[in-house]
Amino acid sequence: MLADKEETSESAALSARGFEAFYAEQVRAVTGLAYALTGSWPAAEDLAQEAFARAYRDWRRVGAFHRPDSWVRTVTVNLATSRWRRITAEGRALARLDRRHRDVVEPLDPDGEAFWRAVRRLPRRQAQAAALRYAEDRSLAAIAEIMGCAEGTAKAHLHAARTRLAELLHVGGPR
Amino acid sequence: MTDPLDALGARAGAQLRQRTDAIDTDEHGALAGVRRRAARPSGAVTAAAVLLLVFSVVGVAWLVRVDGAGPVDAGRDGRTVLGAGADDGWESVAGDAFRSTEGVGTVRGVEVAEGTVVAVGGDAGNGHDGTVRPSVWRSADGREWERVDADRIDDGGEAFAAAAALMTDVTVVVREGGPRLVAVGHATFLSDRRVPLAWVSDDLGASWALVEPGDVAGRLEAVGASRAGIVAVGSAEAEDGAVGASWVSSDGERWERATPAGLADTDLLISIAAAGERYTATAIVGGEEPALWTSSDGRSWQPARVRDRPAGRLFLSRVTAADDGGFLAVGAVEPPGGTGADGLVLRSGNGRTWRQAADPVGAIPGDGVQRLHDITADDDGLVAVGVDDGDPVVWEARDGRAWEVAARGDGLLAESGPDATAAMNRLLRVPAGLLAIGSVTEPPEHLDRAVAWLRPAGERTAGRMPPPDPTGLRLVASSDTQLTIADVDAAIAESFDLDELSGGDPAFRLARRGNAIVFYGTGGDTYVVDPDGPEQPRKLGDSTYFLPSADDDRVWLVDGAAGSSAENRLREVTVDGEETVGSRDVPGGAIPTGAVSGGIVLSTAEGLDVWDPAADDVVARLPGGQFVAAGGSLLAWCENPCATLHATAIGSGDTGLPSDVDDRVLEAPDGAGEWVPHRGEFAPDGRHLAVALTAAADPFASPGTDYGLAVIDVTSGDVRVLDEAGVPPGPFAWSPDGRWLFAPTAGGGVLVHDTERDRTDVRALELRTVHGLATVE
Repeated sequence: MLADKEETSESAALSARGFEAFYAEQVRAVTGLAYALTGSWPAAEDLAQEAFARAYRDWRRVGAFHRPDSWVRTVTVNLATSRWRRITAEGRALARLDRRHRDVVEPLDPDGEAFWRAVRRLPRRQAQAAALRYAEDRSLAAIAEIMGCAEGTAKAHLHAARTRLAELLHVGGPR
Repeated sequence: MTDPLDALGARAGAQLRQRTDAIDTDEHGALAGVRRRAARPSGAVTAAAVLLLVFSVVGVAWLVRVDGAGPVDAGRDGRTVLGAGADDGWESVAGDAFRSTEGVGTVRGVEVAEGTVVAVGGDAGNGHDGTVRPSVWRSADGREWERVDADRIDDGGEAFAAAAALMTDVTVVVREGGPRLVAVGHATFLSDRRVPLAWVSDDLGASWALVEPGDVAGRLEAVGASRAGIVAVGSAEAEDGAVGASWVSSDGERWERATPAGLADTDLLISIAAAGERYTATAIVGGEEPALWTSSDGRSWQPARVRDRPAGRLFLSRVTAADDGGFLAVGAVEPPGGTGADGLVLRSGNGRTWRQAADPVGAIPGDGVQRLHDITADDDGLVAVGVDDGDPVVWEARDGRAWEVAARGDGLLAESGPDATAAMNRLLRVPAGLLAIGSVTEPPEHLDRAVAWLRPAGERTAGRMPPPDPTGLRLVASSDTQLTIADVDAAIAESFDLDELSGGDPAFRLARRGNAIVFYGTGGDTYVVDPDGPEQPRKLGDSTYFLPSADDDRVWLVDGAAGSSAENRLREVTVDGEETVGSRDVPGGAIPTGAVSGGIVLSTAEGLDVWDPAADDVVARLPGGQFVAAGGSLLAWCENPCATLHATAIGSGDTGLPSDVDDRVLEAPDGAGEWVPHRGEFAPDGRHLAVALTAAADPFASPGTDYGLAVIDVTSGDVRVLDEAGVPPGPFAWSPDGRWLFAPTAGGGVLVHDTERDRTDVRALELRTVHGLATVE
């Protein structure tokens, strides 16, 4: 996990360097987060683009946030867990037929794919908490900030997610 | 000790990060795409824009026009707008019809059945986690729309209550008792499991019954119907992920998952079109494999070939049936090593071989990244819609090849302000004109919502002749120096300079033999060439000239003094060079002029002999005869003058003649002069004979240059004159199945006669000088 101090200095640097640097540094992880929640690279890219477009549209404000990277993740996980958003993102991807991630992104191993498939079977808030935890290795405080809830609430979502994931994946439950 | 779930999650997370670390953060201008998406349309109107559709606050359509022409008003945000009602362009229609109560709807497919326009898609209530339901909208003209009540659409009830279910495409099936609409789609559960679904409607879309095409996890993206049946395509879940799949049905109610023959390398089929009894689909595939696949039955699929395939990756988003019975496909190509994408339009007569439909090749005008999403034909040529540099764009090609931007908008203004983006995705001819369906993404939630545009029809739609059936054939034509291969249906020709071609005037210059083309080459030698690789002919053997054998894949190589009676020898070889009849001396004083299954037709001083080279025996003798044509067991010949034509059975083989007729005698029709010797061609099935006629009876004809063309039904004896005086006296070429006849016209086109429908069209295929002509599939 990133220590809070490291996260703070990182975010300050991000704000200072402007949108382009912010995009370059964050787009991979945000796309991965979207993939964890959608299971589709084209849809993940579309959602990540949408999230960054919203950040860019209001960059003067978003760029001044303490954690613009958290903000873009908040948008991403909310978009990615909307089934409607997912369907329309897939529709756009079909029209656009953008395969570049398919061509450049090696498929996950079966265990990895099964894990994220199980995450996507969770209720929306649990899935968000689990994705942030395992895809991003985020601390509980960071998860709470991105999900826009109290740390205790995030902890409850994560606990419920881990309990259900253990059942779905037939592994030892959380302690 | 590490928690096993955390250990599993850590590994899954590490894998995901490893994969995403490999992503090029600005591949193909992704950052620029983000900026465009963010910036549109609040920035200035694109200078090149001609037309832009906008919604006003009260939902009234406005047309934005920035070239200054036409009546103008001041629009919102300082834009210049052209008031709605202009009849020379596109106007927004549908208004709020595609909105659900909460404002979200998507249209994926649209079709016309008996004048009713039916659009299918999904509806998501408030667009958040509300359940997505299949939705249908109907219109009598494409202009005024109404939503079909949800309780008239079977959505599966409890079985799919927790799933997101939507319709992705719709087609119309013509049958006795009225048309049936067949829609396909799928339901997606929270677990990611997808179930393919289909619906049927027998009341023009007013109500829909749900069908589940089988117990296979997968999705359906498109459906097409031909005379042979209904085919739906999409993907099915397999052990190692999704694989492209097709389902077939005769009625839309009972579906069978086809064995995925030929689709193993595809991930998803996204579009299908049917023409005649052939299907073509676009597929998403990895790597550089073809993006087009074709099938004659919807079950077994083969990759199609793009003959002038541009370098780079093809992204073909849609394939449609063309007016001429062929296919059109649109999409984009991403050049290798470059950024962005260029629009791409492909055309095919048979679905198997494709060519670009743009002059110059590859030229689709635009400012930046172009992607074409759909294409159709209207009275003025081809129309395509898509996106250029983030703007919805309409392209037109009046001649089917020279593309220009016809309309362009940098987005749609949504009710709540200028922060909206738009795309045009589907295009269809409807009773009121040309209909485009797309989506607008609007704030504050940026959820896609379906919208429609209409370009009102002119009066030109009346009295259109139905399109001819596709031939599915290519013509191969030779001049003294060039071999030209032309896709008949796509009207595209490509020429190759071949040093091996030769001038001269042999009996046969060019012939299809099996799947190969045999031609008369330099020094009289005979060459064979693969029509799919015409640059590399190979010599079949030394000869003075060749004759097509009665067997389809063989030729006789005649070696001697062409046109003379001295020392002629001949042997028969296959197109692979295998000798099937060894060298034989031709009887003295005779010139081989044709071949039938009973032997070689020899021209002698007395007339025609049919000589069996194996037995060295003359099996038939036609005193005073002149050779016209030979094919199978039939010989066409005439006496001098050639006013009376004989079609005579030789030997015991099957012919097109009735069993009680050995010799069909045919007089030249009234108004024509004479049959022309050496200018006939039997269809491969022996049923028809094409023969040139002189126009000597026409006092205004130019002797020696004006000829007619007649098709003789050998079975019935009927003579059909196709062209009185517009066809040079050969060469002619029949399709391998004997249905189609091709003949270059004096005007530079190609006459195409369909014996099945008794229909003749002239196609604009420029073959220039034609000495030899043949067809290949």
